[in-house]
Amino acid sequence: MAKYIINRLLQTVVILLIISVIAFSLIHLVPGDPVYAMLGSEIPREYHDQVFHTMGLDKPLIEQYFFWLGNILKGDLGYSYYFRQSVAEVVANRLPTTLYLGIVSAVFSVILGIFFGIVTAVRRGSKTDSVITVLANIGIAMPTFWLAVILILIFGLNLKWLPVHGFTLPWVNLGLSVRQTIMPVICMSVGGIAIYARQTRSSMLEVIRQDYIRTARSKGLKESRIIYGHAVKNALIPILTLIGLTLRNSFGGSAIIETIFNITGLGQVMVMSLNNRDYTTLQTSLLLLATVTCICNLLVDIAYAYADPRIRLE
Amino acid sequence: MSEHLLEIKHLRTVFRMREGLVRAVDDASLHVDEGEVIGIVGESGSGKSVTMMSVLKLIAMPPGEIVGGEAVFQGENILSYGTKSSEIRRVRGGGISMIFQEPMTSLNPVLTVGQQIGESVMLHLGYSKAKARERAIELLRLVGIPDGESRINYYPTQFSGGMRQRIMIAMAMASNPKILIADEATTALDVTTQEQILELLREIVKKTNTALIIITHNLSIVARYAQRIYVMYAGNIVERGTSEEIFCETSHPYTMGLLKAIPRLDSDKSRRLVAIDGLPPNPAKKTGRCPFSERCPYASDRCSEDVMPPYIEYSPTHASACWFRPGELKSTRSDAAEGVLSKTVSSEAILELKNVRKYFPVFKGVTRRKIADVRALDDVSFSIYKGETLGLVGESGCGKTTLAKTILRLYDVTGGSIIFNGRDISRLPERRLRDVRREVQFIFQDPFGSLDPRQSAGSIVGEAIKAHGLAKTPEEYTRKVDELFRAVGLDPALKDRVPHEFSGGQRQRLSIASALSSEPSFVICDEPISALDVSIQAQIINLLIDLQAKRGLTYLFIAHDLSVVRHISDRIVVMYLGRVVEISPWNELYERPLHPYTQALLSAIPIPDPVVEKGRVRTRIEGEVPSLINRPDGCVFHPRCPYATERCRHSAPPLQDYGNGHQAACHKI
Ligand SMILES: Nc1ncnc2c1ncn2[C@@H]1O[C@H](COP(=O)(O)OP(=O)(O)OP(=O)(O)O)[C@@H](O)[C@H]1O
Ligand code: SF4
Ligand code: SF4
Ligand SMILES: [Mg+2]
Repeated sequence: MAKYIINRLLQTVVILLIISVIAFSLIHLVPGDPVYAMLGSEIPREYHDQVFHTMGLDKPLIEQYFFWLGNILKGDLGYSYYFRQSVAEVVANRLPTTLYLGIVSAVFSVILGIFFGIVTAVRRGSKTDSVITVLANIGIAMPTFWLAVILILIFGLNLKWLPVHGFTLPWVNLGLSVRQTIMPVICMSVGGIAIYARQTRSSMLEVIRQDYIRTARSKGLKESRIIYGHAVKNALIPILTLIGLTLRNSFGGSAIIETIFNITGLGQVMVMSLNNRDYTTLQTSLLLLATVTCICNLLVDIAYAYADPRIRLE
Repeated sequence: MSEHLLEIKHLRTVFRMREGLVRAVDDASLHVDEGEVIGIVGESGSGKSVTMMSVLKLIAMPPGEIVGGEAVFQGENILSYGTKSSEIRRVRGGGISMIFQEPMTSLNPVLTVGQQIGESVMLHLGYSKAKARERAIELLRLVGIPDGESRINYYPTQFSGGMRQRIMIAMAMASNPKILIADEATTALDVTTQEQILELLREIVKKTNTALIIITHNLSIVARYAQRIYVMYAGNIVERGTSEEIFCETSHPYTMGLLKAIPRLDSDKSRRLVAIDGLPPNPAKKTGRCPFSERCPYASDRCSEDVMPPYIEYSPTHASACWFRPGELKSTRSDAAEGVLSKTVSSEAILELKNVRKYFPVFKGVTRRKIADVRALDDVSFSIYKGETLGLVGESGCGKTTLAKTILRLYDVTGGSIIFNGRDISRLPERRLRDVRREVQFIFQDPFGSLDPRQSAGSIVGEAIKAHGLAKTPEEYTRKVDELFRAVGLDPALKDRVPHEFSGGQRQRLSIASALSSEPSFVICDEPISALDVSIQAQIINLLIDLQAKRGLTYLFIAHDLSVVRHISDRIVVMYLGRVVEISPWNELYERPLHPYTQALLSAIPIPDPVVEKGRVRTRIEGEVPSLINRPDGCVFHPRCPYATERCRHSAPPLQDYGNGHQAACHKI
């Protein structure tokens, strides 16, 4: 097990390095001079040179990379010419928002999805099963922005039950926070719920056919004990791997949702910095989001290994 | 009428399937008394499992449905209980426990064995968690697993197959049931492990006065262990009786057929196996008459009436469901080709193995560092002579299939030489192996997995004819394919079918035909019959023997079933953990086994005759076949050998000749 964790840690480091190289090369993929691209070509020459130098663009490529990476590791994330503050400050205000939304919707996806999956598997062929299955299929097929627009139209503009934009952290103002997060979280978790429900259902059906379930039944256990004590544990093992994927999707999807609901999160920052050619901020946010996703994946994998004794005991 | 512990009366269970109503159990009655050991034998699909699963209401409903009969257990008809009722749950595991076939999949992989055993104890005996744990440890000791205190926290994956089956037994015995049902409980295990488990079961039920119901397709097992036997065929119990009555006063033609179809360890080899013709009936197309009538060699007009023959009672315990008594049976079919065709074995070797070694590297860690070699074959040397059948036996992991694949050059050899027809082929490059590939063919165990599911039967068989240019014209090609179909007993009209439209036995015939199509001189048969039903096995064995005589083939016949190997082989090689431990002419192997492992292997195999069984002196060995990775030093058999000495632990005994071509590798002899 320890070996496995070390192994996965090393892998994560390698993946992060690769991502950092990609994020780094971003600025060099932009046609023309990055400084002019960022700040517009009307800026004075001296200003250009100064920025060019601060960004280390006058050094050889390799050196630039290590310089950049070194700075980031030291906590110096660079300066955003668009937001007119250090990237660290830009990010510090927004990362918690994105993480909060991502994690809350992931939690909802997982819990509700697994719940529906178990229910449909246990009552296979019943009305409940068919209704949930149809809904899940719709949920998977429906584009997020589409759902967002519909929700805003109905609950925000027509019924005026929920605010259509903004975000407050729960420890700042709980009531407002909840009201503001309902729609974004629904949008971000519907797809996840649907996927979990479908996967859990098929995983459960697979497990229920297994010999050890027959064994459990032959012991005279109650049906509920067979389902929750024997089947669910096994059925959830393959589901665990999905959690990493969901987190990635939530973080990735945050760009759209944050823009639609006008939430000042990292996703919105990325969109803004892309639109305004603020490559420093874009680079850093990308790297940051990737790091968070990787760490989540790592944790999920460790949990996975822990849950399955066949892997744990290797 | 006396009270039985469990009495099943006129049980009928059906499955409503798309292809029709499957009468899986059709009016079956049986009983078992306290402390009794009974056997239910029958081929696959005969309804053995469904009978017992119905009693516990464990069959899938729907599509299954119990449409009639009752099962009286301790005075109550348990079939009247609801499938999920608390009454039936009290019987399940509490009154009647079951052990299933697959030890690898029958235990929950994510719960510790302690949890799984404890669960039953808590449920049925109402113990506290701590007390349940104690009881679980005690149960582990009872089933021969030491260090229960620590092992109780292990997961099933940390145990070998035999150990898991012991755990299953512990679990089944956890709540002191009155009846223990072992459904093919040892079928998936090695022969020596199988014996250990069955002996364990016998001891435990004796100690606790539990009744034991052994469900198996293996007649020899019930001969050794059961007091009374029920023979099932197509959902009916066709004969019942004490073990002596079933084996010595056999009355039903199906039972007679089975007994004649299986090779026995102690039988005379000139006896040709009498196969039961045809296939078991399709359970969806069952009629009212004697289910065996299509295959019965004694069937007469009366048998085609649409009435089930009533039981003729020969004694209070013995009855058979046939219109006739044994003396009245008259064969309506001529038993053609009774004798064994003679064949000639030359003294010229077709294949010689000299110190063949095959090691597989074991990698570990991130860097895939090689940490060891698994010695799957270690200095294997023997010869096969033209026209003979060389049998190769051994338990799982002894290297049988590796040897086959190495000879076929599907694996590269690590060392030694393989001389085929005087030429060393062990290092020939692939392009020069072409004619060897034509000469050497193989038949594998799984007749389904080894055939391309999309190809028609005709083209499967014809493939090699084309590939090797063995037919000059299309007419010749068709003629050759048809000939091959007929040679293996298939109707050439079936040429257009695809493999899954054939039964298991027919598929194996198909793979034999395809192996023969390149006109080989040497055929490797790797467990060619172990996936088949008993009555079909005999058909395939007879076919192989006939083909050999007609075509002058040489066989390397690999199997774990020593009685089958002995029946078909001229000489037998016994392997253990990658080494040859004994080579013997077939007739000496049973009478004069030299190696302690061979002795143990032989005595682990039951003989389908309770009288012979009772008189046998048996060598029993402990433990299970170790994994190749932890191969013992010195004599590989020493950890399990009852005669092992200090010397055996250090030096590996060489293969030595003991006259008459009989060789063995043991220091003791
Ligand atoms: N769940 C099921 N659904 C449909 N048919 C079934 C089911 N279980 C068993 N059957 C049918 O019932 C018949 C009897 O099956 P059963 O499992 O009792 O045979 P068996 O004698 O135990 O054979 P085996 O030696 O292969 O275990 C077969 O025709 C089988 O196809
Ligand atoms: S009743 Fe007829 S067909 Fe059936 S076993 Fe007896 S003789 Fe054969
Ligand atoms: S060499 Fe020793 S350990 Fe090996 S079989 Fe002979 S007596 Fe047993
Ligand atoms: Mg069965």
